[in-house]
Amino acid sequence: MNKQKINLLILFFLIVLIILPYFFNGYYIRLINIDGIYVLLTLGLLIVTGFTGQISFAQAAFFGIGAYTSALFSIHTGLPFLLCLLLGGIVAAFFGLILGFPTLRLKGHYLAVVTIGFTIIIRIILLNSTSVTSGAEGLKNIPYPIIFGIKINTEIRYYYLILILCILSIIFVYRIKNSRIGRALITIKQDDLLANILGINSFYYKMLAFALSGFLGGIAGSLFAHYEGYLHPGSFTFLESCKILVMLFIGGSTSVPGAIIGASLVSILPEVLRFLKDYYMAVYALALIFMMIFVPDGIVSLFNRRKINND
Amino acid sequence: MSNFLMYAKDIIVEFGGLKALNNFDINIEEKEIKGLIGPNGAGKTTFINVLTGVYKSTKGEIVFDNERIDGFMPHMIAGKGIARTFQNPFLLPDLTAIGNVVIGRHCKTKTNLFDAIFHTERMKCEEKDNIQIAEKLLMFVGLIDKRNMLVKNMPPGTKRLLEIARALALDPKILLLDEPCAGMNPEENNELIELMEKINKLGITILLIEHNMQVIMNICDSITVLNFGNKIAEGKPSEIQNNDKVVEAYLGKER
Repeated sequence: MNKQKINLLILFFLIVLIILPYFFNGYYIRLINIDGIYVLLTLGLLIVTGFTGQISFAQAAFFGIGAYTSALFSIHTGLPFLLCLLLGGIVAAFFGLILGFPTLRLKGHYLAVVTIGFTIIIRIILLNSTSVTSGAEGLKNIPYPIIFGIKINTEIRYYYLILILCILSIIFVYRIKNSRIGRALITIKQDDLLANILGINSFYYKMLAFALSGFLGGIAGSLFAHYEGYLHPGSFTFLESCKILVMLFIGGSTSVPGAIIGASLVSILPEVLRFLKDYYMAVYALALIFMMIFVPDGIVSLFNRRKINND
Repeated sequence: MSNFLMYAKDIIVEFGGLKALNNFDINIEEKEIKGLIGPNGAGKTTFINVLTGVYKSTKGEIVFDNERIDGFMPHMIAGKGIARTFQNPFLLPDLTAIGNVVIGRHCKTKTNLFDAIFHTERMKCEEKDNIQIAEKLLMFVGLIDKRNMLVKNMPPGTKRLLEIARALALDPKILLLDEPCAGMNPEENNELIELMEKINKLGITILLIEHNMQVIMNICDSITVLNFGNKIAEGKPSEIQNNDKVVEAYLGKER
């Protein structure tokens, strides 16, 4: 019975999401599209930080790697968009594997520092390999995606493309969570040693978590690149990583709905607060601080608490 | 050629200058219940940690099932069929009883990323088996009525039984129990003794660390006594009870 309720709820949300763009003008759809890209990024971080418990500041780096890979492939080789998208994800996942390597020796804060370094290095590389990335000038003229002959060149078309990828990613993350792999990841989050004693190769699964996180980050980057049509290394800074981490923690760091809610709230809130003019950033920051103080387990915990009271 | 399931020879473990284990030997026969006793700080838990690969021994060899396992990573040792429990039950508090037992099935299942994402036949089969086996194990330790209870709401006695069920989910050849009776009341102790005998009857060898002498003397086939990292006695329960060195280690020298 409960499952039926959940299915109905999901169906309801799907219908709302499908008809949503017809009620908003381009500006709002653009906001939602950017939000969708952040949902993908946060889902990626959810795997490595939420499930596996490794604090990662590398999401912006994966975002950048995916964006530049996809953009460069489509500019120079003219490969179809879907292939570029996949390549963006795979190359970012490969970098995730490399980044996962230090987890053999490093834990907690020390690993977090390594991920910060990684993000900064990637940005510097993007900035200075001028012959490939055009450096600070930025990469221009990234072509529109064409999928099965449909040119994705309007906000609404992008909306559906991003929506589909978000839905696929949500299914992807849920399936990982509810499998042997997901169980291994949450055991590692509880304790490395415990995981090892139960026969879980914690090193392998941490690398895998970083790779998966990189994959989703890379996909998000590829979408971003083609959506904007222009890339600049300044979009992939350490601060961007912090923002994604904040999204995860505001929403509730261990669940898929939490990641979605957090990403949406943090990416849309500043736009809602625009009417405060000069003060909007200050109010936004205060709002985030208060949320962390009063809802430390994230917004999803509010729903969970009510559920427990009802029982 | 020995018919021991596991033996350890000349194990030395040093922490800085301190020798936690000093030339320690132990032989464990197949399907026996072996007791490992000794005063606090004798090195019993250290030995379990060496056996499971958590600590590396400075010297010595450990052979399990005719294969040297010292120096292996802990997860590989678990894969060989060595399961353990902890002095303080170590479970995932936010999961249910059955969720915790299913985690113990990790070594025995093979679902990979591809299976997980595309819900292949193998994954479906394994998940179904996992649930069935976990339920069977919960039944075995007497927790089937707490199947969906969250671990954080469980009393310590229940957690200990659940930890044993999780260890059994590995299909172990040997089960290492680290003070399972600590903090249990006499009634729970009797249940545990029964459970250990039941496990032993399944053909699983048990290495039991315990302070409760009644439990040890009742169910162990043979006992090894440790003191300050040295083995001071080995033999049948009745022999150990009358061993002067053992009495001295526990009670002090007679004047």
